[in-house]
Amino acid sequence: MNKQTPLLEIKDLHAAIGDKEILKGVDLRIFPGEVHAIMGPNGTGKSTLAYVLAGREGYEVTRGEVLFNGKNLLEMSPDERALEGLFLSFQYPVEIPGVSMTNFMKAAIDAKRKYHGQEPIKPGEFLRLYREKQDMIGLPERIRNRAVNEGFSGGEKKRNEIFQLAMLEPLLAILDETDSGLDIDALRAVAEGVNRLRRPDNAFLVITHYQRLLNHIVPDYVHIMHDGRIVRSGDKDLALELEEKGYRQLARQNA
Amino acid sequence: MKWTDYFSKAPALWPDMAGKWPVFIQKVKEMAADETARKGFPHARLEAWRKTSLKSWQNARVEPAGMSNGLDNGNPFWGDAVHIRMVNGIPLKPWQTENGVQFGRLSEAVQRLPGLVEEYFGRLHAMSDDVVTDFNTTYFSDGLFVYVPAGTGSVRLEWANAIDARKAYMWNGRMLVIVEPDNRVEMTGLDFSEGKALSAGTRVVEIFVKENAVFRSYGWQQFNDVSALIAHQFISASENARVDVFNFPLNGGLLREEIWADITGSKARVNLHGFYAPTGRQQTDERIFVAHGAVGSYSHQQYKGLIDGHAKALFNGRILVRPGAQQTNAYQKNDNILLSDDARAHSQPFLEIYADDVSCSHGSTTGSLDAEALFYMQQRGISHKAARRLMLYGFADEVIGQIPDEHLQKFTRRLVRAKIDGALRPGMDILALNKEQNLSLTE
Repeated sequence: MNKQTPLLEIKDLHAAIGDKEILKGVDLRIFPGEVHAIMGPNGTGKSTLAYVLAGREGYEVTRGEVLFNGKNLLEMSPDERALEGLFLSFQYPVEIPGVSMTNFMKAAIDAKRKYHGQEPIKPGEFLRLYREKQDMIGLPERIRNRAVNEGFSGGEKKRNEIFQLAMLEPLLAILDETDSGLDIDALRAVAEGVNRLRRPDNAFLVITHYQRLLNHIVPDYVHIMHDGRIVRSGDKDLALELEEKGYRQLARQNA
Repeated sequence: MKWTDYFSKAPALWPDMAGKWPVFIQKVKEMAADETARKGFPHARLEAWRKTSLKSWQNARVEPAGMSNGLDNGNPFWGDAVHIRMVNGIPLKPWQTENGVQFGRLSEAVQRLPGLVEEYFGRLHAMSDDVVTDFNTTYFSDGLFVYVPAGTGSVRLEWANAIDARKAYMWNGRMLVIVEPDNRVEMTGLDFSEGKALSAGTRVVEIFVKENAVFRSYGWQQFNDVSALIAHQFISASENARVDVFNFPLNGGLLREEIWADITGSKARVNLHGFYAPTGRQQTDERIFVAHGAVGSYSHQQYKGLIDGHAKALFNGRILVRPGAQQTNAYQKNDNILLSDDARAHSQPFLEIYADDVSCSHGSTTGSLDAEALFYMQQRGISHKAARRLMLYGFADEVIGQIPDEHLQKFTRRLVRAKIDGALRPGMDILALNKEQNLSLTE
């Protein structure tokens, strides 16, 4: 893919919840094949950025624009954004009683196929794909016939997000605090899954509070977010520097 | 005459309307007529009727329905079972014995099996002091009688009841079902109206499930939007009996069902399930009463519903554990999803426990569709409409999935989904859907 066209381009993005401005001018460009990490303390707008990009209700974009593959992302409904290739791995995956994992995934895959002018997936092919990705991510078999995220352990919920990512093969995956609440084995499994999914034509935006995930998913760029803005960008060493000096000091250096 | 007048004038009116009956039934009717007049038409000052609106039917002018002709009955059946066609609650065919089951009109049963009818008729309906039970007892002119003698084994009965709604009628259905020990009986019942007029229906059903017997019943009601059915079902479960009841009030102006399950034998198990989805100005009203009167019995009530438009859904679930009914396990769950700002759900649990070694629980939820879950699904590329549908289907499936019979599960799923999609028309649809089922069975 052409390196000159960014997959995601965020320009001066401002967003508010009610009267409270959370994002105060975010600029970011992500090209195909790249892994970006956004780090920062709680309450600086990392998750808000993820939700605004995914199109969650309750946020008002007051200024700026976002281009996804050259298209105006903010005009699209959440499902259109997903169909265009944007995926959000939720910090808190939602339980959906009564909707089984298989029905959910079949609906998602068929929606994507329909969007690209393809026939619905055949049941046999679907099952084969499901098993393959399930094994790849290390998701237990018993989860398949359960309702989405219902009765899943914390680790299973996070793994399930990566499983869905593997099933849907998006162009841009935003991982919102995918590492939170995971023990080291689960963290390694999730990271391994992500690394296997890396391709020259897709990209990842990893939102994390801690550096430890970035030992496993090695980013090309690290951005530090503070008070609704990206205050510093650098390569993977920035994450180490951050770990050493702490957010406060780094933010002060840039103020 | 107005429907309400049939209540107030019951003692004078009934003798000409209720047919000829042996003395023991005549006496019950006579007393019921007096009670009907004394209690009068149900009104909002009664706790049991506080939230149910009968306005549309109270002053409606209705004639008593007879044996209507010319109703297109379609083929409402599945196949290999005992089939019973009814019109306005009365079986069309004369007395029969099929697969060991003796069945026909109640008026024939009192001739052929007088001892049996006398032993069982009206034995359970006194559990309810609701005027509708009295009213029905007063006016029923005939009904369905089913006797499953000892040694019958497994048997399946399917009844279909066409309600004449080409003119404004009142109808009063009656059933008496006796299942002798060790038999396994599955009974399905379809009610559907034909015509656009208002109808005011009542039904009283008494079911005896004897020792070690299994009784499963499935009901679907598919009426026009101006028809009402108030059905009281009384079930007695003897020792080690197993009772499963599924009810799906699909469409109707008012579909009110009372179930009175009387557990008289130890280790009996009673499971009661229902799913309702009123739309427009429809009302559904489930009143469930389970009385545990023996050691080691079990009951479970699972009722769920989707309420849309200006519709209203009422749930009133009661569990009574009588003194001495130790090791009772009784559970109750009612969940409602409101799909519009004007939809209403009222859920009322009531536990009355007079034994100490019991396990009882109840739970009730009412809310709107989970916006977070909708967003989550949309984030995976599923449209809002499809996501909503998946969730609603899933919600209904938590009841439908409990149906042990695969074909009945499919049939119910199809009907309920059609209702959720707004694609279920009154009357014939239910038969068309069933025909499709027939086709798929022969594939």
